[in-house]
Amino acid sequence: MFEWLQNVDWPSMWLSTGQTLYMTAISGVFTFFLGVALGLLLYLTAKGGLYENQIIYRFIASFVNVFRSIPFIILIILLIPLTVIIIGTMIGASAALPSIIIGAAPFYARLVEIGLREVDKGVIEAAQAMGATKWHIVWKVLLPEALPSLSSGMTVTLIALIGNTAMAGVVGAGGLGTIAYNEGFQANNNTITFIATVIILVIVFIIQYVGDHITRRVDKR
Amino acid sequence: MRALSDVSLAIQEGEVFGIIGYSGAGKSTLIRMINLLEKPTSGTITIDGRSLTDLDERQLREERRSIGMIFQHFNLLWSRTVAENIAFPLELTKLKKKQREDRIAELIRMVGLEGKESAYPSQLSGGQKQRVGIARALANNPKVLLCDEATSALDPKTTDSILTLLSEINKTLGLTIILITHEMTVIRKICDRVAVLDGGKIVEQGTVESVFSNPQQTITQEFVGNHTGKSTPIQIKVSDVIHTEGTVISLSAADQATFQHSLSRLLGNTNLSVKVLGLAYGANTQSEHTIVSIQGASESIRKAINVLRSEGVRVEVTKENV
Repeated sequence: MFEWLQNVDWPSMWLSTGQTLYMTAISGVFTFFLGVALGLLLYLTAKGGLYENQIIYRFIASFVNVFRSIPFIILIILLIPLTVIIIGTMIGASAALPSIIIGAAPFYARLVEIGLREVDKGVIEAAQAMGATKWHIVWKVLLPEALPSLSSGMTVTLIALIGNTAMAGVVGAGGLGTIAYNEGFQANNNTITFIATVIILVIVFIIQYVGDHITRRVDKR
Repeated sequence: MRALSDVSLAIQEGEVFGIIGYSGAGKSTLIRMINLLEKPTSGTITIDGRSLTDLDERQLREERRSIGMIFQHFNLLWSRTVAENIAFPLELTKLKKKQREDRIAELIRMVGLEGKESAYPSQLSGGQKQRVGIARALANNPKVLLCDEATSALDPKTTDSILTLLSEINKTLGLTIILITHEMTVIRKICDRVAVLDGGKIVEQGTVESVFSNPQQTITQEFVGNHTGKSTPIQIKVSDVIHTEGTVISLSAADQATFQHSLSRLLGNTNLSVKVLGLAYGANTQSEHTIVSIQGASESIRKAINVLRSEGVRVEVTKENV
């Protein structure tokens, strides 16, 4: 009944899964911090923000917009020189990280900015009335109050990011995208393509489930 | 655009000072200027001998810690429990953890929220949320408490309990309270002095008694009028009836036109002193009763009641003259 599964080279399938998880985890962590930082900067320097500054806002906003609009497959190629400088090579799972992060962080930054905007202005005013510094307001009001949005935004971003790790297979990043394309599509072994897809789906479902769970836990509204 | 102009107020230590006005009168701007959440274009704000308008940003933050503020929509942090919300202002000062916890427990007792320490704001009623707001505002032992429409989002019963709490705090701590409102009942219930704000100007101010027993400005008369039920009916409380002198009767009629006619005749009766106290509603809100107090000779009162009944007005004697 399961003879068709014998067409699959399981050790290399698990290796690819590991590479996908590695790329997702590392780029997820960087995307989170970079996205929160950029999102905060966007929120704080925007009109009416605590550190209103048109020049910085416009600069970050255009950076975010540009990198959010470039199709990922083109972004990878554009960033090859940068990747070589940072990672030292343009092949392998680590080499895919810069472009994955630079592709996902601006997207997450916008979600962070939207989440921060949803924080009740009255609460910020109350903190100011109590004599809070801007630093206090960021750490004790804005980020904790926006946590449910940061969490649900991160879930969406991680899932988009997995899609990008698969695409990064084109530049020899390894992972499930590479195995599905090289071993599956090009060697005409549909079973491998199928199994790689199933594994990606399982990863996506787990992330969605865990993300929803965390969002519910931190949402006290 | 000028939101406020020529506003000059001197608020005494330990008093409850009310500022009343319609929305758009500039009340919110005025109360926000007291702690400089709104910066005035000119003029000074002095609290306890310190001119806030001359302070730099750091000094102003320090000073704000001794000015408590509560809000119409409570402005609590959703992500924090009751105790953590009250802890917020204490975290801004360098208070030791143990002292902080003691202070939180004390504040929770003071506002009557025992047992709710670890509840989140979303699990509380409006009145409870405002109690958290009050505890938070009092945490750093402020000199002044600013109340920005603090009861406007609450139902009348809860409003009453919050006003009672504020009044108690004013008495026990000797805390100066400045409040803004559009509700006469709030002014009547807890204020010592009142200022009436209209179009960004103070049009009348003085003790609550003097301003409202003899209102000079049309707007003040409107607020007083509203309170006695001329335009917006207010519900009569049992305590009001008990404390009213004379006979209290409750009137209702099927036909409004006849009723108005009879009522105005009663009010015009020169043998009697007649006062409309307000409206009361029956169990089904359809039946509306006008509550009237009558003072005069018992013979004249009986006659007047008989006349009303003959005109088709239902008369119930709520309280006999004693």
